[in-house]
Amino acid sequence: MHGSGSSALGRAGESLVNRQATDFEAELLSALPRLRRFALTLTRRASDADDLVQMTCERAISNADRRDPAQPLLPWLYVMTRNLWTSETRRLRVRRGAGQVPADETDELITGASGEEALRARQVLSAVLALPEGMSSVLLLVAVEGHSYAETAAILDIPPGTVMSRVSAARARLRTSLDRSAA
Amino acid sequence: MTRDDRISAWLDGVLPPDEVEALEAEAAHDPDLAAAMEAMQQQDDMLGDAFGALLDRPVPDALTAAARTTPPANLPHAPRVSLRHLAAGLALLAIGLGSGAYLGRMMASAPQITATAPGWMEEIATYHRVYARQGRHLVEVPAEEKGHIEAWLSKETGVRITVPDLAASGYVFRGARLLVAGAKPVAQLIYTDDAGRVVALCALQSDRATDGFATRTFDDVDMVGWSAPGAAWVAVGEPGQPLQAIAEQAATEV
Repeated sequence: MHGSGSSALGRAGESLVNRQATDFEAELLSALPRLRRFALTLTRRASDADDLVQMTCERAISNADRRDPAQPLLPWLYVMTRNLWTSETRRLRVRRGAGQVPADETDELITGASGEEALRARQVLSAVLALPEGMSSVLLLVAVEGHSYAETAAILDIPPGTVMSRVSAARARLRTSLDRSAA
Repeated sequence: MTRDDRISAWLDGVLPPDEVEALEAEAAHDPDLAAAMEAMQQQDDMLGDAFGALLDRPVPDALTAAARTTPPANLPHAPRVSLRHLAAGLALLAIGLGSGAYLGRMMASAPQITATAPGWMEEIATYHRVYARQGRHLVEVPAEEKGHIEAWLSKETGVRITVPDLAASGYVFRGARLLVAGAKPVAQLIYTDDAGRVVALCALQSDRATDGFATRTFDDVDMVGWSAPGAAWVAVGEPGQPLQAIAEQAATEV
């Protein structure tokens, strides 16, 4: 899409294409923190999450011309991330189940040094990432980012009714888990 | 629906109005239910804090590079990485840069900007890295349309935008852009000096008031922020630019 046929496009067209590419790059760059966070709820391991984000960026750049610029970028990226994760796990036949994230890894995720609140954030995060598969992502999308059930269903490719029951189950399980760690 | 399902739907604002009324009426007579609703709401707040802190993690260079549509080697200002980057990262760790909110409470002695949504300053820093090297495409609307810029950005951001005169610091207004950071519209006023170095003043709606001027660094981007009624302002540039003076001057005008 970019770079080819610059003579046919002429100067104005070329600068428009460059500008669109630049805007896309800027949007993609500024989406990275949120993308990493969403990927983490899928992989539940920070190193896997960043690999997944890297794959998402590559695919997003090669599919940039197929994106409707009128639509927000983030949900489009989220769908791509989720698709890649699904196919990747299927390919590797590795489903990590409800594996507990090692404590030192959640320490690295929140680098807010010490302090009671940073400690609490680490506990919460570690409990969220230890929830059964699929629950961390609905919690992030619905309870934190405020996506509607319909948007969340579209991003995760599950029925809206499942979003509703899953977010409720995730909240209840999280509460049990945090009560246990507080006791 | 179980009790948990009702509370969850209530938190997400999807319970029909009559069921909201019924739930709240029940809670008025049922301390257990009221406590469960309260606890779930608190838990959602904690989730917001925990996930919010994740947005302030420095993004690894490998990911920034993967998100670039053009290879950095072809750019006039390739991002400076390696030792300098590492040092900046360590410095951030050392001062305990968690979410803006944590930082604000932890470092009560130094005035800090509290973010309206965690990560918005990081996003503005990212925009700055990209836009500051745009040359011909530096702005969306040029400085000649100053009146339009003020009306347009005031309307879009909900912040009363006036374009400050930074001539005393050697910076000339070049124009403006509308950005989105922390899921909010952000006004970006762009200035350059004789050497073509770029400084941006950014503003977004915020109801958190802070005292004085606060400095933050995001790798190769520095920021000096302050709050005005209903708004958070930040002067954005590179190390070595007189951001403090610019921020103080702009604050008297906006």
